[in-house]
Amino acid sequence: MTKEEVMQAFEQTQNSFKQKEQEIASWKNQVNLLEQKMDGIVNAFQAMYDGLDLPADLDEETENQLQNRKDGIRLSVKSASRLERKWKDIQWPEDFAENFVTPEELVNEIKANKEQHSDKPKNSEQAETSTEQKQDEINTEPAAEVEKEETSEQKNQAGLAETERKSDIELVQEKAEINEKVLDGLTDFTNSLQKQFYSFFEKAVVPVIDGLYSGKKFSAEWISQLQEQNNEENERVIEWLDVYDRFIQEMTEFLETFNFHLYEPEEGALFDEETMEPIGVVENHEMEDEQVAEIVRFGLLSKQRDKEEPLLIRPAQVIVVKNREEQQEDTGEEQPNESGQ
Amino acid sequence: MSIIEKNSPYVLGIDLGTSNSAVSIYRKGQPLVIKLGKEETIPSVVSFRTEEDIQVGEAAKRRILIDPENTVSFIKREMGTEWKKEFYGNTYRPEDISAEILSKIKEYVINQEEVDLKGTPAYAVICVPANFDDNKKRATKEAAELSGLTVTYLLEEPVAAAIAYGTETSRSQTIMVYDLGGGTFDVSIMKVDSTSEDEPATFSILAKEGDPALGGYDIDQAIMKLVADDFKEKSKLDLFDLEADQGVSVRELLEAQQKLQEACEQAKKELSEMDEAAIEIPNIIKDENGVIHNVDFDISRADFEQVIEPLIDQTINTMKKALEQAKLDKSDISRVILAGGSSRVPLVRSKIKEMMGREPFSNINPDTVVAQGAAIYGASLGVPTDKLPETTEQDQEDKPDTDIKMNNIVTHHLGIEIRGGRFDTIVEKGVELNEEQPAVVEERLYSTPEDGMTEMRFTVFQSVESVSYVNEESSVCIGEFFLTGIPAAPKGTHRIAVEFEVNQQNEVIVTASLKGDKGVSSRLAIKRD
Repeated sequence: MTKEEVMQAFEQTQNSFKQKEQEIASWKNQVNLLEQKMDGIVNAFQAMYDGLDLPADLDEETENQLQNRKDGIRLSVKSASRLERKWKDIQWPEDFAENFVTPEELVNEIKANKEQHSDKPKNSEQAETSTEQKQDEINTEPAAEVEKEETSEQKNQAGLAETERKSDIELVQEKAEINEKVLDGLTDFTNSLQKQFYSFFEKAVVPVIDGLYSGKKFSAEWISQLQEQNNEENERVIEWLDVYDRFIQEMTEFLETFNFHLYEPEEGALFDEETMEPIGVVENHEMEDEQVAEIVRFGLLSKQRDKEEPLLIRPAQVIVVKNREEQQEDTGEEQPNESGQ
Repeated sequence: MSIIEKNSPYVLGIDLGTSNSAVSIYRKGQPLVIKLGKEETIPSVVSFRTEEDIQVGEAAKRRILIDPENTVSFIKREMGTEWKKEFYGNTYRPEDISAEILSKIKEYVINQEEVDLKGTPAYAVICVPANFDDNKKRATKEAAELSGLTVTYLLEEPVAAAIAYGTETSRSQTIMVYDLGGGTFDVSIMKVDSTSEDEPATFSILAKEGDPALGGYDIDQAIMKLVADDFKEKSKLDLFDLEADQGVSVRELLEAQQKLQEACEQAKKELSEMDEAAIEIPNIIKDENGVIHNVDFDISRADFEQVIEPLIDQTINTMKKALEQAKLDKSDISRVILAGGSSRVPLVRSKIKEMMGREPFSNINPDTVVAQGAAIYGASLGVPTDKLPETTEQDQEDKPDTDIKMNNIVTHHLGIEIRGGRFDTIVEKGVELNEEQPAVVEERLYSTPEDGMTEMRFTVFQSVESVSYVNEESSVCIGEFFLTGIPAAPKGTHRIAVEFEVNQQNEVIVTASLKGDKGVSSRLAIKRD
C-alpha cells in the first residue's frame, strides 16, 4: 500500500467509527422504545380484555359462541403478555471505544515511537537508508497527515532511526488494522441485533396478530349470517365482534412505531413467489390459474432507512388457484387439493 | 480493445446441501459467510417458470406446491443417477439443476458489497457427503463447471466441519463430527496431525457412519404429534387425518397443520434456550358446530426431551458404530463437534456429553460450519498455480496461517462382477491412504470361464456396504472394459490377473492382463473426484 492509501484507510476507519457510534446510539433508542412500548401494549391488551364484557340478555347459544370467541382473545392477550419474556436482553459493547485508535492517540504513539528511538546511537549504515523509506515518515501534527515536502536534513534524521523502529507508515497501518477489527466486531454486533429485532417481531409479535386475524375471519362469516337477520340483538353481537379490529389496530400501531407494516395482498391478485407463500392449492373455475383464492396469513414488511423498497420479513400465506385441465367444464365448485407442504 | 476482468483470488467454500446451500470465503483470517439475500443459506430448489425465467432459492421453494411439475427440490439425492426431466423443451440432468443453484450462489457472491472480490469468482471447494460415490462426485464437479466455477477440491462435509474447528488450534487431535441435518444424520471420525505451526496440519478420515433416514424433520414431527394428540383429546379433531369425515375441509386442516408446524418449530428453538415454551395458536380451526378451537399447550424441556429421546439415542448408537469402525475408544476422541441445524437441540449436547464424558463443540453456526470449513480449505489450496497469471494477487492476510493436507480412506468396497452376478470385492472399504501409503494395490487371479474365449468383459463396481451381488441396492457400476487378444484355449487354461489401484487422487486404476503374456493387457482409469 502507498502512504496515501494507508492514510486514507486510517481516515476511513475514523469516519466509519462515527457512523457506527451513531448506529449503536440509534439502536439503543430503538431498544429503549421497544421496552417501553412492550410494557404499554401488554397493559393495553389486558385493560381491553378486562373491559370486554359480553352483551347482556343474549340467548344461550349466542352467549356461548361469544364466550368461545372471548376465550380465543384471552389466549391472544396471554401471548402478548409473554412478549417481554421473549425479548432477550442486549449486551451492549460498552468498551468498544477503548480499543479504537483516534488520530490524537496515533499522533502520540508516533511521537512516543520517535522519542523512544531518538536516544539510540546512530551509525553510518543507518544513515544510508533509502529515500523511499524516508518518505514513509509522518508529521506528528494532530491531523496526522503525511509530510509531503521534507527538507533533506529532515529526511536524513528520519532515516537514521528507520532500521531500529517501525516506520510511521507501518505504525499507521497497524493502527488502521486494529481499528478495522474493532469496526468488524461492531458490524457483527449490529447485524446480530438487527437479526434479533426482525426475528422478535416476526416470531413473537406478529403471531399475536395472526391469532386475532384468524378470529376476525371466523367472525366475518358469522357477521354476514347475523346481518341477514336484522334485529337489535344481532347488532349488539356484531358491535361486540368489532373487538378484533380494536386489538389488531393496537398491535398494528405498535408495529408501525418500529417501521413494520402488515402486507395483505388482494384476493384475486396473481401469485407472486417473491412475497407470497402458498400453503394450499384449490380449483376454482371462476378464477385463473395462480390467482390468489384466499389470504390465510398476512406478510410483514420493514421500511428500511434510505431505501425505497421495504424489506420482506415474512411472506403472506395464501391459497392459490390451480385448475386441472380435464375438469375445465365442471360447475366451478371449489375443490381443495389434498397436497400439503 | 476490450478489458477482461481478472479472476478473484478468493476460492469459494460451498456447502451444496440437500435442503439448503451456503457459501463462504476466507478473509482476514476468518471464514466469512456471504449472505444469500436476507439469510445465510438458500433452499436448494429450482423452479422453471418459462424457458428463460428460472428461479432458485426461496422463491423457487414457494412454487413447489403450486407448480410441482416445473419445480425441483432434493436434487442432491439424484446426483450421478440417470434422472432426467424436460422443462419448456429443454432436458435437464441433476448436474444441470445443481448448476442453476451454484450459478445463483455465484451471482449473490458477485453482487454482495461487503468484500472487494478483486475479480470474478472462478474457483470453489464444494462439499459432498462422506458417502458420495464417484458418479455423484463427477456430477457435482460438472455442475460447478456448468456454472462457471472450477472445483479445486471436492471436500467431504464432515472434514469441512472439522477444518472449521480444527484450524482454531494447532495441536494434534482426533475429532468426531456429529452432523444432524434436516433429513440425514452422519458421523465421522478424523485425525488432525499438526506437528508444528510451520508444518501443514494433516486431516485423515478414520471412520464414517450414518443414517440416511433420520434428521431434524423427525424431531419436528415428534413435537407436532405431542401437541396434535393433546389437541385431539380436547377438540375431538385430528389435524393430521385428511381422510376421515370430521366436518372440516381438507383446506382448513392443511391451514391448521401449517400453523401448528410453525408454532412447533418456534417452540423447538425456544426450548434450546429456555426450560419451557408455550405453543399458543388462538382460533386455529372451527369445527362443524361452529366452535372455534385454540391450541394452548405448555411444553417443558423435559417433556420435549422425553419424546425425542429415542431419536437422539439412535444417533448415539451410530456414534458408537463409528468408534468401532475406527477401532477407537471414546477416550481417544479429543473433541466432538456439531454440524447441521438440528444439532442445536440441547439433548444432543447432553447425550453426547453423557456418552463421551465431555461437552461437544458448538460455537460455530452449524448451518454454515461446512461452508466455512470449505472456505478455509479453499484458501489453503489457493488458486491453481497455472491460473495465477489470470488471477488478481491475494492479500497476505487472506491466506491461512497453516496449510492443510488431506489424507483419506478408501470409501467403498471395490470389485468386479463375476459369474452369477456376484460382487467380488478386490479392495476393501476403510483402507487408509496417507503419505506413507499413498496408494493401495490389490491383485486377484481369475481364469477364462468358457472354451475358446478370446475376449473378456470386466465390469467394475463399488459399494458402501459389503454386498454379495452387484444388483444389491448399494452397489453401483463405475466402469466397464474388455480384455481382448486372449489366445483361444479350453476354459480354465489361462490365468487373468486383475489389479486394482486406488490412489490419493481418488483414482481407481483397474488393469486386466493375461499371465505370461504382457502383450495382452487392458486398463481402465476411473477418475474419482
